[in-house]
Amino acid sequence: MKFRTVTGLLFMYFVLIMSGCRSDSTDNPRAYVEGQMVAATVDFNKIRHKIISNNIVTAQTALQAGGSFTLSGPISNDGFSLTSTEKIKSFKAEKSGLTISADSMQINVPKGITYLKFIEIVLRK
Amino acid sequence: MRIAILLLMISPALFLSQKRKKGLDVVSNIDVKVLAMKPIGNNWLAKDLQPFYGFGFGGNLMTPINFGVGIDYSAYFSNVDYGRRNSYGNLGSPRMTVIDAFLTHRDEISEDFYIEEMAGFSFYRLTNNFIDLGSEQLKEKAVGFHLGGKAIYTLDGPQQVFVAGKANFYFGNTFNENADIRRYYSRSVLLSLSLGYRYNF
Repeated sequence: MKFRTVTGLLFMYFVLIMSGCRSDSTDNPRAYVEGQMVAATVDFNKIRHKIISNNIVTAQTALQAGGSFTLSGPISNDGFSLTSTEKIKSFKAEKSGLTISADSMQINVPKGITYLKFIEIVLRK
Repeated sequence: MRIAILLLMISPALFLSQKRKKGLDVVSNIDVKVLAMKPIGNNWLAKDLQPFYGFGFGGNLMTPINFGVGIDYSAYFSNVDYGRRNSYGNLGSPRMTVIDAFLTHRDEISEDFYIEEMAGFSFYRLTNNFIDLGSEQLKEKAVGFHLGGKAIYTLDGPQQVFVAGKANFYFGNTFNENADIRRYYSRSVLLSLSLGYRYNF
């Protein structure tokens, strides 16, 4: 009888665990951006990239030697922007809906996009 | 023949000496411990952070049939690995709070040496400071389960010391469109080792 109680409790645990294992909510979004920079005259070591969401810098990185970068940080549900320290001329990405801001310093990413891969980002210089 | 008689004479003594009388009441205990924890696998806690160190408190209720229930509270502290800031984000001083509720079973190895196994349910809270905002925090909640073992040595009367190992499975709710990235930032296995002091009453 006591063993049956223990087994019952274990079963309850199992049910609770299984119900807790789902991760299909969008409550806690995180952006992941990777890409390649192309520039003629700029020193890659001087460029910094940032992910800005809700006016908070949630991720920041320098470029790797070849001009590639990987960046990830938590974001809000209203989308985010990728900011550079040099003016951006054009970009090629796998997703549509992205725009370059008026001052050419950042790429605005609409809400709903959390994974982004840039084939290339071309700088003005 | 003589040996057989001797054995017959001794055996009741041996038999009776092994059958110690056990108290039939529920025993409770509380403990304090220091902890070290290392996440493993291909995930952000394992790759982007240094090992966690911390402290914890716990309590157990043990019944005479050697099954019991217990609860553990642990607080862990870590730092972001140098060179992994781009992957972890612009976040600092990660702290993790773990609450484990478990069923436990006790094996008596000898008079002052016990082994306990536990299995149960875990709640996690991972807190990070936004470097950009100083005092504001990013809080993540997660659930999971754990399995563990504990070796206990009795010092005298109600005082005991123990070493415990535990494997915690972490299921977070971080969202990303890419399934691999989502898995990287939401699932982990945490291995922890603790050294503690326990008082029974």
